[in-house]
Amino acid sequence: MSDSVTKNPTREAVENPPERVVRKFRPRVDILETEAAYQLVADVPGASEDQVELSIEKSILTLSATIALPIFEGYEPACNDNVVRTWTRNVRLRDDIDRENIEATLRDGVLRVTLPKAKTSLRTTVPVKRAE
Amino acid sequence: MVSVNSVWNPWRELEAIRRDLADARFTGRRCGFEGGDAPLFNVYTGEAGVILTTKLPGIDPESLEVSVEKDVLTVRAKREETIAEDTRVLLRERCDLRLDQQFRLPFVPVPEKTEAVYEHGVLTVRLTRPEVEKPQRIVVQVKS
Repeated sequence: MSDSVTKNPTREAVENPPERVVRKFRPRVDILETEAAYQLVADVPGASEDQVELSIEKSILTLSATIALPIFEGYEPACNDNVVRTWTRNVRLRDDIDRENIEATLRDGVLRVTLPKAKTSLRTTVPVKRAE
Repeated sequence: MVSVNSVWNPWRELEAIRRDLADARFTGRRCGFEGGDAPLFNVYTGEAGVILTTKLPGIDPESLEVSVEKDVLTVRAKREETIAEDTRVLLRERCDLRLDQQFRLPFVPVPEKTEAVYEHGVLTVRLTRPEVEKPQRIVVQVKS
């Protein structure tokens, strides 16, 4: 039997893993709106605070994170998942956002970005006086 | 129930590729956890035992349940997000998660050395193989 037939490329990859493969992912997000702010919620499991990056360029908010799957000494991945995952998501911001006061928190792999509305865009009630 | 062993399984590889594609391409249409669809687990095997990891972002740690009965590992978890009444949903891609999965292990793990850690939304379960089941090197006696 020829060598090309007996070789199993997937098994070879498991036995001699190449350098870590980089795979790109698009995190799932929710976008919520209250009277005072918008909130972007994204799943970025495995990411710590220093692995998540948020940037704004013009009107685009970019969320990115790079997460390398752990390597356990003395253990081999049974599913050949020798992968570095990069998560990227772009969101177009509305003009009514107060960019100076954007806040982001990360807990249990969930990123929450609070985008407050600019005061000029908040709803105000104008009292109506009785005409004399 | 999923059987965990170190034997190469081409169908598992294909299934992982299919799920990765679904994850990347159809965000928002499928969550990968609802309706009995199992989440992705990474499995690491070694002489000392088996390590399983899975991504469970935003799980309430109190809802996490990891148990071992003989050679069966059970992992249960759920995430139920509530949205306040005064909040408008503009986009909803994330969903409630419900996980109830069992694995048949290739050994009965040592209870004292079994540990589960939940950090940054990732659950890691470490199961240690009993000493008697660890590979033993047998010295070959050469007789002339």
